[in-house]
Amino acid sequence: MKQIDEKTWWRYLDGECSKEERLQLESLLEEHPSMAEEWLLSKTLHDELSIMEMETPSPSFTANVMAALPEKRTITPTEPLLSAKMKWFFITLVTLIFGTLLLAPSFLGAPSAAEPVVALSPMQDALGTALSQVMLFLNENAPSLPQFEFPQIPASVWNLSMVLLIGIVSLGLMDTLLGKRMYSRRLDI
Amino acid sequence: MNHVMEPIHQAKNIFFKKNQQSCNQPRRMTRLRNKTDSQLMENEWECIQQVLEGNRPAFSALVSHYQSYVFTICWRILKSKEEAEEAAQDVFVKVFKTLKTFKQDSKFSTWLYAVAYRTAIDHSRKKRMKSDSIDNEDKFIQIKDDASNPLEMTEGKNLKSVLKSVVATLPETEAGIVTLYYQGEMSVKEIAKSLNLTESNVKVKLYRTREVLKNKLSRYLRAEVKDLL
Repeated sequence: MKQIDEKTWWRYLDGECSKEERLQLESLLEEHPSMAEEWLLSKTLHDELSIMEMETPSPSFTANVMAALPEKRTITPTEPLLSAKMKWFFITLVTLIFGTLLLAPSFLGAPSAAEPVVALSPMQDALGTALSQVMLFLNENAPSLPQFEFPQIPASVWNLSMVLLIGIVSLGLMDTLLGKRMYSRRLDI
Repeated sequence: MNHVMEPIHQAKNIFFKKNQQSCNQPRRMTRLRNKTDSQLMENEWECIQQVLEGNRPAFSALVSHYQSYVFTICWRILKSKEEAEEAAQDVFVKVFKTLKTFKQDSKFSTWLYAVAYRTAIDHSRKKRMKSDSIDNEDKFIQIKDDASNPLEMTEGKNLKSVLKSVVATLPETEAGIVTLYYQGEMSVKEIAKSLNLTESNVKVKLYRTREVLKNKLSRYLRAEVKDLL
């Protein structure tokens, strides 16, 4: 008589057997009814475990859980570090300081607007040099490309552009930093 | 011979018929659920969303629905009603705090039972550390010496109550696996993931546990089967 492995019975009960295996097991039981009792023991245990009653906590369990939950925090927008007025004040101040530093030498030195740019500040100097180097590199290494010439930018236009750039960057930075604090909301549960 | 075999065949056919129906979902067919609860849980995801939006009564509904499952897992692992209640409470508080991390890629119940199992195991470890009595976890299914033999205690009782008593004496991991598999309706894969075990490990443990239960309860099971035959 062919013996059936206990594991196979459990696989059968767990629904893991293929259709062929299932049919094979069922036909084996048909042929060997003495196996039926052993099979029924496993089946009964499986069924009893499936319908086993669950334990019930005390009637006040839900209330206890709800009481133990952390207190809900009031959702209020957090105060910004600076008020809106102060924010604009700082943006203006930063722009003015940088603007003065950049523009003052141009006015003091009184170069005409038509004159080519003269590096008056280290920042201008560095930027101008870098740009010239890039142009030079392109002209030397990419002869097929149209030849570039360093544009002659008047000092006042250059300085004004720098002031605007600094203003825009400061505005963006301030808005990002303060905006996050002003508008971010976190749901605390 | 035929008159002896016939009832066996009849019983077998009844079981096969029943089993064929339930083969694909063997455990789900037997689960009886409160109708109101199941209606409520139809919109489980909606309920979770409401909790996330700050609706506390929605969480209360979730607690009411799952309290027995969670409490059962905790009790089977901790073997004490008071401790299980405390652990189950911790489970729900944890779930409430971390609900925003729950993703819809798994069932809420699977996630909840995994939290319940881990919390109960943590409580058990703390308990052991306090009492300085470290049980050997590798020891496989043995009824603890300090506990009375459940079979003696339940003399004259039916299979259901004896089974409950014997399951209550299973070691933590085995008790957890049986509970998650049968009461939690989790698949072997889900259990393995939750318990940080391999699928084959879970299968082996489940098989051995059921074999041990079968041996321990053979007297009661035979009586039950005899009635059927």
